[in-house]
Amino acid sequence: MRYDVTTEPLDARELEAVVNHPGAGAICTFTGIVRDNSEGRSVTHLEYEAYAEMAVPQMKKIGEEIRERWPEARVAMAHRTGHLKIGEASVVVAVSSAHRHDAIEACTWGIDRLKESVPIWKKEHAVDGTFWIEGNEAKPAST
Amino acid sequence: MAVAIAVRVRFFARLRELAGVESESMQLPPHSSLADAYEALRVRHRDLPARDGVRGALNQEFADWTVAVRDGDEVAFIPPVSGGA
Repeated sequence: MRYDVTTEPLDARELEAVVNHPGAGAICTFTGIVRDNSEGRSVTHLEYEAYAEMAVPQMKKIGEEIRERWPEARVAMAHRTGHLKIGEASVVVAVSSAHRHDAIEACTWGIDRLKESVPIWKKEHAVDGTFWIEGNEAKPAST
Repeated sequence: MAVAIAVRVRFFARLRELAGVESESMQLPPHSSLADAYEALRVRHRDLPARDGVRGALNQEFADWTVAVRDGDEVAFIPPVSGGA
């Protein structure tokens, strides 16, 4: 298991290596990528901010939730913070299991829970302004 | 009996910008709740929004607004999160 918040570029293959083991028949990896558009706005780049001392324990909790539901699963999660360019990876969730269905379902669960409960925020720099994204809402930023 | 407790306050994302500080220490009467702390901060930082949608955290865990804060605690106020892609 591995849970990271880092300013360094993310490497999905590295997280897959963490969860890989001889009994694993499947690894499902979700990689979230910075997109050049959001709700009709043209996005130039994103800035992610984390409450890192809380974000990492929250990720661990999600890993524990996954292991309660899929006891064979091994989990690794990493989220990047700071300035991210279009096309860069912001988040990676990798889950291994004996069989593909469990790996895919557990990975989906993991990224969904991360988006709900891990204290990380994105600040969107768009052509027509800068916005804090709060859930599904974009609120003008003051800087 | 202590007449006041001291807590460390942390703000993040839009709340950090609206408060104008990342962290500060504050004193509160004993038995104050997380909600009491936030309301006291709204007096000090007029641009902070009402509590709707904001979640409180106590010592790096989400906590109910009614939970009492203690001397030395770290309290944080968390706008709706937006990690991921």
